[in-house]
Amino acid sequence: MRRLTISVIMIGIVLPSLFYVISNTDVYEDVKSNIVSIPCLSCMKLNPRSVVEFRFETSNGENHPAFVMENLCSGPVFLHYRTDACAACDAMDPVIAEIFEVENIDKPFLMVVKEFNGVNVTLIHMNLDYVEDNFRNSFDVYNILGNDGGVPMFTLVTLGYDRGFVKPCYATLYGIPRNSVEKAKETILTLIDDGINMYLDNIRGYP
Amino acid sequence: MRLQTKRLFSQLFFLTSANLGIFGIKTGLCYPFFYCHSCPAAIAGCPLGVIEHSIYRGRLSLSLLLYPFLILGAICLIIGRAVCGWLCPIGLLQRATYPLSDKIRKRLGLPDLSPTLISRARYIKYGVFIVLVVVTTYTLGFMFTDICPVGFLVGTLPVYSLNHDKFVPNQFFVPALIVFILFIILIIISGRGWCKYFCPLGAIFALFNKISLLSVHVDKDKCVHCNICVKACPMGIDVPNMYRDPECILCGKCIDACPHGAISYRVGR
Repeated sequence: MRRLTISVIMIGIVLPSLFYVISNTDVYEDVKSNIVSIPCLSCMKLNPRSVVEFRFETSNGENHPAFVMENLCSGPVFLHYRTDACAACDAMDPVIAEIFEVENIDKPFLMVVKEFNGVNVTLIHMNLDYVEDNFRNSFDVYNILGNDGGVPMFTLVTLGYDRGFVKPCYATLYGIPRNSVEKAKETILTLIDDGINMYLDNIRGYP
Repeated sequence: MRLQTKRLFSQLFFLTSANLGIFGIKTGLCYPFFYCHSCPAAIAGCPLGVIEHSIYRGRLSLSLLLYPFLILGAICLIIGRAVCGWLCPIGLLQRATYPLSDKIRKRLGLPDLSPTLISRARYIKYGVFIVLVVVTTYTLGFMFTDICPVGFLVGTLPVYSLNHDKFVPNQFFVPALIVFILFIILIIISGRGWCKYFCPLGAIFALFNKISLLSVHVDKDKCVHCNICVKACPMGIDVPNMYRDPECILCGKCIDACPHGAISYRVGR
């Protein structure tokens, strides 16, 4: 009888607490939008192959986010997405920090401008576990692998020429590109260089 | 319908439910059993993954930490470790390999482990949970998820086999593959070896068996100590002498096996 009483009391505590956590906190949405929908690639033990391919169409058909378009006026935009509990994100943070010469990359959100060959490149570093919805939603805009994509994810948004018009275009990489931190740095620098060249080629035609 | 047939239907139902993400359904719930959100068809989060997120590198998110425990608690306070026996897809996998394990052990001439060793080995899962899931995640950042054999089975293997042209193994692939091979050897040579010795979720569930509403009861007056139930028990429990054993997964095999009807499910006592 005593055991039954304890069980019933505990159920009486646990069920309302669970209901409270689901209805009054962001936990349900956090688990859904970050943990379930955006897998960590190191937890998956896989790295997507690093193929740099610039595209005009966003992966979910949405427009480029406003915060990207604002910064695109002054140069290419480099988006860096991560979440907590992601070993590959931890491995890539110092690489990005070194490239953009930032010291506090462990912050959930960071926007830094660095000049590469006379062109400003804006780094927007986002930990999806903490950033606001407009930043979080931008992940789906550039996640070219859909359900197979995950973090860390790197997107360079620049300008490209498409059938008579200059438009924003982007390329996305994932994980630890080429499976090594040193090679990942080379790959990302090449991506930035390509983006800068495309930007310089097309900026005069950008409305 | 026999109890074991009902259990099979239950396990198949929860295996199917766990994979409804294949239709694009994603929820913010945690699985109440061992399953990985890296699975391409996952519908919910792995409770261990959520715990790891909540304490990663000393960043404590109390509500996120509490969430999986509340979900597991809500279910296990009612049905106890029946989650392992009736719901868990990895339990279903071990159920499938269980008949093999006896034959293979006999064929290989493997000796039975001593009862003392078995009872001590059961504490390994508590160590796995505390050390690999909690302490290393909180202090180092390395996580159980990085080498998790269940994640490898339901996440890595399907994604890699369906998209081997798009992905290459990363630095965790080989360690995880080794752990996965050991996991397969374990469940083949030792029936329910993962549940008994290593499952960190089993460690959480086990604690609830002491206070859950549902339990397995042995009627001492009817029991003749024939030990048929002990032979039937996949968890190697001394059933006639058990009382709310933390290892009991409430699978009901002892209930089916007992020729005297001395064993039954009980609610609330």
